Amino acid sequence: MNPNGPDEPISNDERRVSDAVRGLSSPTPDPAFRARLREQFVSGQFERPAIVRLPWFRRPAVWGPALAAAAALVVTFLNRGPDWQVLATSGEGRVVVAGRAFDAADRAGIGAAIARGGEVAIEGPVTLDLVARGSVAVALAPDTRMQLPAAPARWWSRHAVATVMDGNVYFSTGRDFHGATLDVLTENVAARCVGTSFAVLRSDLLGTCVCVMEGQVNVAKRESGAGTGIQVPSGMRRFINPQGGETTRPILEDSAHHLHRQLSDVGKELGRE
Amino acid sequence: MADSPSQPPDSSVAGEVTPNRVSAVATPDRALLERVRLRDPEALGAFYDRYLDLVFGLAWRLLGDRTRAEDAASEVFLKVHRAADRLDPERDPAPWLTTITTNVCRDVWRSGAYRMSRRAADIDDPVQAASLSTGRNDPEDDSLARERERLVQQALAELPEPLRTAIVLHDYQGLDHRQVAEVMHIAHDAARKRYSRALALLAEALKGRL
Repeated sequence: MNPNGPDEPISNDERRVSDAVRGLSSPTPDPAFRARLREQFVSGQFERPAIVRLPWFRRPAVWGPALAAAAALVVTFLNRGPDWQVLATSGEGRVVVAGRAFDAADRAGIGAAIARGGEVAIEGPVTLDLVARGSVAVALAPDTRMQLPAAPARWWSRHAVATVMDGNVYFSTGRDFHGATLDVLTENVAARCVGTSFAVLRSDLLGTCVCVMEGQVNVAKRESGAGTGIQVPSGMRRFINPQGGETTRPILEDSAHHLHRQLSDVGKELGRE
Repeated sequence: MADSPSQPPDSSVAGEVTPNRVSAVATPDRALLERVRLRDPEALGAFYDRYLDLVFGLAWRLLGDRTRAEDAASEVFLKVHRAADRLDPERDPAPWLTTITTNVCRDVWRSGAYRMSRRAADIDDPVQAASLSTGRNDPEDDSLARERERLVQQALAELPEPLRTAIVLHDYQGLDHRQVAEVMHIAHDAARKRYSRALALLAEALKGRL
């Protein structure tokens, strides 16, 4: 390989171009400029430098990427889904958020701790109603433990995954949820909804029951993965016991009642009214 | 040696060098360079006379514009004057000047003013036009030569600046790839790749026009 040539053999066109560049004339400065600069160089008395190098923070090569990064940060921030807010608590007991225990009446404390999701445990006869304004409402029944996700983002990453470890949780989606997905996992079930009102009831003894009051929810065994099961229509429930047995029956009256109450309480916050 | 114009320890790189404009300038003797270090006016004048065209020509080919080439040459000689005491009289100063000139042109490219007013070569400049004469008193040959120069300079001006620098330093200035790599502060392989890329783009731009 010619150490002084290009990487690969060059074509005739490239050879012509190379020769043309080699053959370019040598431009010369005009005599007045030549004399003026000579005088300055010899005397050391230069006019103000003709080229002022921009400070680093004014160079396009620096502020271009910096602006792009700042814009990306702003857009990422704006893309965040709404924070969780505590709509109501009732009963006496404690709410544990990410290991921090709050009295059920301490709505401000719970709200601050739960804003971006986290593990939530209800201790005692307490119900906790949460809403991510416009997007999703979640109601936790007494003695429930779950992993609460951040609400789906606005434009991308519009997928949220909640895990119900134990107890009953009621979900209703709102106007801004359109186009997003929510997976709710239990030990043995993966439920996927794209806009609906449903409950997930889970216990060690009975397994998991998914009660659908509105829309449809895809219910599958956990090991099969969310979205791979059967579509459970409104007014029905899908029950999967710990041994894997599955049945589909009409929705439980109690679940329907809770979901109706939830929609009635948070319909405005979800943009459904 | 990005901006501090101290002479590089190995600025006169061993290796194959194409016949070039750098080596065409006779290296001044050591005594003259010693006097340049001391900023002796007479020595500075001789140094300037010897190297101005080399600096100006390179700046003109990189910047494609007489006024900017004059600004760049002024900046180069200002830097040389300030750093004269760091000149190594044992070494050929031409590669050092080439590096300073390239760095100054890079500063010009980075300036907002250059980006605002970037334009093709000012080949109709009468001073430049005179220098392109074939010397055979043939107006048609002169016209063809001028047109050819205009096309090549215009195509050079369209290249991304790192590629333009690579091909101008290699083919116009006559440095080998190792020297180009040192001037541009990049790896030897990177210099070769930039040159190959520049050649391919230039050939594409000038296809059927030379």
